[in-house]
Amino acid sequence: MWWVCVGCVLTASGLFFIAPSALTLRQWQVRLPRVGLALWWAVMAIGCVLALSAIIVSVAISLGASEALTRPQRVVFTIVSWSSLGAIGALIAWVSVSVEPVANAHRKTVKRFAHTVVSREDRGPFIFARFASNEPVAFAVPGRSPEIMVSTALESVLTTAQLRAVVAHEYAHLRYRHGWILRAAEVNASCLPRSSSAGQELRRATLMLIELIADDVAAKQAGAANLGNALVRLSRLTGDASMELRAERMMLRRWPTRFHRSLPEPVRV
Amino acid sequence: MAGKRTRGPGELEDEIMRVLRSHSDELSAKEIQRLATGHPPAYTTVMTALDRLEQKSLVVRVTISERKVRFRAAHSEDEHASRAMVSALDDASDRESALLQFAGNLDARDAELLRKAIAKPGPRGSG
Repeated sequence: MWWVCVGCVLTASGLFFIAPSALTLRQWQVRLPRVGLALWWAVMAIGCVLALSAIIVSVAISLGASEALTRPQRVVFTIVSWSSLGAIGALIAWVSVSVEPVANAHRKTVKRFAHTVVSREDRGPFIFARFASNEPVAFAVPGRSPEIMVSTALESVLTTAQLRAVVAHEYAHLRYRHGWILRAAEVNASCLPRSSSAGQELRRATLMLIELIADDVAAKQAGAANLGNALVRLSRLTGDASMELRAERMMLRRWPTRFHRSLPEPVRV
Repeated sequence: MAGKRTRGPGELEDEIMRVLRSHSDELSAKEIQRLATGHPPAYTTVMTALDRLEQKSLVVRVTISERKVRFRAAHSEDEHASRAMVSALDDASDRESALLQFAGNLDARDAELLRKAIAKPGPRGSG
């Protein structure tokens, strides 16, 4: 049975070192961000399952004190299994400590903006809040009471159709739990050693791919032209060239025509 | 023995800023002391807090005469709102999961990748 344990450890380690270079962000992921993100996280999940299996098997071996093992082997398995369980305990403690400040950051963000909010509208799945600001920005705040916050400056520079595309983008973040995915990527990056690029690469890939996924959802619901025009408009106002590139990306594929689009009710601002 | 704290750290400074921003005229320390809500702060405590706020460039001291000093907020409510927003976004950039922003989440490497992908469309690129 010990070879199962060793096999799991070797495969998990292989995935750990090979995955970042094998799955590094490539052009196909720009076209198929949903597949790219799913692949990243599938590899991560397989690695975790293998590592966990190795620990369970080693604990089973040490508890059963398999007769097939020599005395030194039994000692090694006992030490490895119990120290692995200790490591898992430490990891769980680290994760719970890492998650809390991020969760607090959400609450703090909402609190910071509270005094600038000029209107708040309950749209069912989220609160749509407008806040007074000269900066054309919009963002989603996930949590128990999710919010989409839009600045008055953004409203003034976009048409209604473009604004709906922006809200559809933010709603996609909330609907598909992108906040949780990003949080998991951050916690994962903080758990892995700094010498390994795996955690940082996964975090970067997650951040980019969820933006592209939200763009795709918004383009399907509110129209690629509306989203593209909003991106170009904001790119020119803020000087952020990546937004213009996101707009150009809209031209890489076909999108539903106006008659085949379905804008969710909460997004109809 | 130190007395029991009636406010958390920074709460008196926040309260003083709220009082100053809600008045367009300059206010004396005594007026600020009277207008502050919650547990009434001591005059000397208000003066200490005002000194700190002046050092942080949040409050402007206006000397009317040798014995008469008044204070006003360095920035209007609108300016403060704008600054608070920029500050919140700056904080959020340290832990980007705090905000799922419409813009600003892609770095130079991501932009380069996008540029390459757009320049070389795949088989479905004709659409």
